[in-house]
Amino acid sequence: MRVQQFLAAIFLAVPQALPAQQAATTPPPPCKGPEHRTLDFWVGDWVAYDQAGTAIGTNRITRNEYGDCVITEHFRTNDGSMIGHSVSIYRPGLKQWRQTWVDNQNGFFDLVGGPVSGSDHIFVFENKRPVETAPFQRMIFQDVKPDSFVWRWQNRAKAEDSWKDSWVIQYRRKGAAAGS
Amino acid sequence: MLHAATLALAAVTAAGQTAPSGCSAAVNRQFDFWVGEWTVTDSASGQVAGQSRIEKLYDGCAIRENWTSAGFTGGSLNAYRAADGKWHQMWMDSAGAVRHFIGGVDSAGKMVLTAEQPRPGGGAVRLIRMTFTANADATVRQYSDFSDDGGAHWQLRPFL
Repeated sequence: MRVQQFLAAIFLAVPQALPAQQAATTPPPPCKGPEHRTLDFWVGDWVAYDQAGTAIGTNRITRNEYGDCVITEHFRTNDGSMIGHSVSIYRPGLKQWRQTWVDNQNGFFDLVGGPVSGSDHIFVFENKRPVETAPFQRMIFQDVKPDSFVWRWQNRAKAEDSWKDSWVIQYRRKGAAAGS
Repeated sequence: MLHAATLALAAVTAAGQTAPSGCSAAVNRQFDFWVGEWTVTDSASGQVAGQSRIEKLYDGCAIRENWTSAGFTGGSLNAYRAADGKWHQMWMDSAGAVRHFIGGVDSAGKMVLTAEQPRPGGGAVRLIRMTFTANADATVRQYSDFSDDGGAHWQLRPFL
């Protein structure tokens, strides 16, 4: 905790955003449209189960850390082997969701996606590959119900290949009865 | 930080391993000088611009920025990405902005991160650059400029 021992001023030219400038023009409140709410089914406190039905971890999804704009994820396995965090935001100009994930296994994933219709899943995030040789990876949300859903992390070597599961998690909302 | 550190210790115990985490390499610590609880002052006006809490998380694999100023919150996730050998910063905020900065440490030890920002109505992409410098007095200087000509010329981004 050395960092708190020197509470210091930093000399700053510009942060990444210009809040005062934005306030001066009084734009409509950001992130209020229904398109910003299409990932809200994910919000909540969840227990993660493997395909054998064993509880392996927890995931807490919130939507109030940055106004109405950002949905945050806090995931950890019960054994501490995977601890991670993501932020997701809808970008109206691109009509696309963006997610960034970091974890304790040196993972950094930059993903884009959005709602899906006419498929076996209702939402997808696909990894933006950092290099051409990187595998294609995506996560999908399927069988989404008020208190449960299935999450699949999938990959394929080439764009023309079929997606294959590499990690499947059954989520159940904390406190919800089994089968709900 | 204390919470994350506790979790990290638990993970080592559960796995029965004593090996260092995968993020203890020097390259993963290049941005550690930014970690801390900061009062941020605009050097031009001398006014306090906001508060920023920079956390080192997830066994040292990521740095999270938590920015707060009047009526505004934002944050970023920062990590060294072995896949391309660069530092990445993804910024998101309560105004709906998203910026993906990519870069690394220069020969002087400064962290230099650059994002591409599409221009309204098209035209050349604006490059936004941030340079973080660890000062000798344990403060940090964050300087930001931009370029509309692909990096040939840079101009200061004023704060207000």
